[in-house]
Amino acid sequence: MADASPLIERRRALSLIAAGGAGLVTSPLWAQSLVDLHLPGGPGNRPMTTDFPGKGPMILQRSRAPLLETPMAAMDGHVFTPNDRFFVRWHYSDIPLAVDVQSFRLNILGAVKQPIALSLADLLKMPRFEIAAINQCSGNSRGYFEPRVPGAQWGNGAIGNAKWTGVRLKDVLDRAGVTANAVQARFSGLDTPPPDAPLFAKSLDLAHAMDGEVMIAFEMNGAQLPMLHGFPIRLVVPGWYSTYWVKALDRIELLDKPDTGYWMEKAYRIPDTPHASVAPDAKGYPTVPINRMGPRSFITNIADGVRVAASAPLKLRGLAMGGISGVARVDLSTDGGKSWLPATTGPDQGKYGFRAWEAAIPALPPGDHTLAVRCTSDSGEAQGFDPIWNPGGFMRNMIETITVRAA
Amino acid sequence: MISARCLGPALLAVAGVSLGAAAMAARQAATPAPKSISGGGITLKSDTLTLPEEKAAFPEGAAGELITNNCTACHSAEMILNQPLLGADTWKAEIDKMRGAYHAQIAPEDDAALVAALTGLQTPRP
Repeated sequence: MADASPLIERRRALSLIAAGGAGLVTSPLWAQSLVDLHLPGGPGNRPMTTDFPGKGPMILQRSRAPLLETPMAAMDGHVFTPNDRFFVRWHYSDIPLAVDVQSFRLNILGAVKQPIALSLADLLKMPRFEIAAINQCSGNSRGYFEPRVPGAQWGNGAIGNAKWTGVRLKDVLDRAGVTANAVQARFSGLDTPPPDAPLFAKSLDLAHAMDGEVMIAFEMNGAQLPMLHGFPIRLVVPGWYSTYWVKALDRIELLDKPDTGYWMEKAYRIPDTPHASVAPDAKGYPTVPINRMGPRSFITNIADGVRVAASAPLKLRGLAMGGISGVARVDLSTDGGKSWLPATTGPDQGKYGFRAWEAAIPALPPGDHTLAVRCTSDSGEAQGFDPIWNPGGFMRNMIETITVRAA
Repeated sequence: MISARCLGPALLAVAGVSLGAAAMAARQAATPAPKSISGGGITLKSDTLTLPEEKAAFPEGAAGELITNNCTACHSAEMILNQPLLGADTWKAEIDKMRGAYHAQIAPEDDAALVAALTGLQTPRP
């Protein structure tokens, strides 16, 4: 696939050559290379950065609080996104900069028989649980909304899949003993809001919290959680957007009535409509807290706008996800969805994770062609072409297309 | 070969035990070993994070200064520089959100000038 090397990787190579030629390698090495996310109306250029500890080249969306996007090329061939290329998203500037494993405690309080403070040693002694799950920002792909909406202007790379190792949330809550009046569990971490701003806290209904799949992870792809990913522990909510995956989790409060805090009542709300979509001028529709993810699929081995050989079949590969169920099938179209060609899917490594796919499409005649990829989930949910729009820039999961020039 | 290599540091560590207690304490103070906790085959080590310097900045001048002073206490400049063309009403709504939800210290009397600075910052769509 070297002949179809993605634009980003080529730019990385060029910038390396440039740095080598200058004979002076300093930290802004990657910052000199820009990636164009092709956001409608712009601005789409972002610097690549390697300035963040433990991180390879990442798309710099914001340095404080960090927003780092994974280049699509970094996901190519990886069902599990490497930790050093996994996207990063924090809300508040004051993120944890040091964690002592001896003194750290996870506090469980509120509607419980006995408030408890668990040490990491306590958690490590508990029965283990492991799951592959995709962590996707609610606003992933927000930059492609039309009309555009304010917020973090992500391309498609605020997403990653990892194997999470830790303990079931249910087992942790059982140690404190949830009382009969509890209806939700509220989670918060070590990040600190500015003065008077609301603590970043997210809540799940009790039944969801106790479902035996929601977990507290201390490892990500077999390594302890990096600081940027919520060391020492974070919540993992398989199938749900990452806003619930509270990092550096140190507090779980059992609530006897639904959470009315800012981060549930005002932020991360979606229209209570099909695909969370509304007309841009719509007003007065009901909203609900964002929740489960839907199917998505991406071509990872070639980038938008590349030239391909007109005479040979075109090999494509990528990743797909079903959301809250597995991937049933992945299909490709070169004619705007009039006909579809099935892709071959790789091994199923967990219904909440990525599934690799590959396909060879027949040789394209010379000219520009739009390639579309569509995932259908095990629950029968298929991606569609219809635009999804809401003012928060959430839940985008339409069919992705890229344009190639065959010559 | 591999086991011999691994033995090297272990032998050094054994030799260290024979040093005086005071010398040991001094060595530990100079290079504190990262604390760790182990259980069930997993070891977690205390960790720290050093964030990089911010590089992005607003253009020099009064408008850039006004945005820097009012907005960058909570987030770096890229958050604003990366926004699409939003228009005055949306920028005003963003200011209201930052002040209302996050208690940003933005004086209401600065709003008009701040909106003008933010819209002025954005290159008009061709």
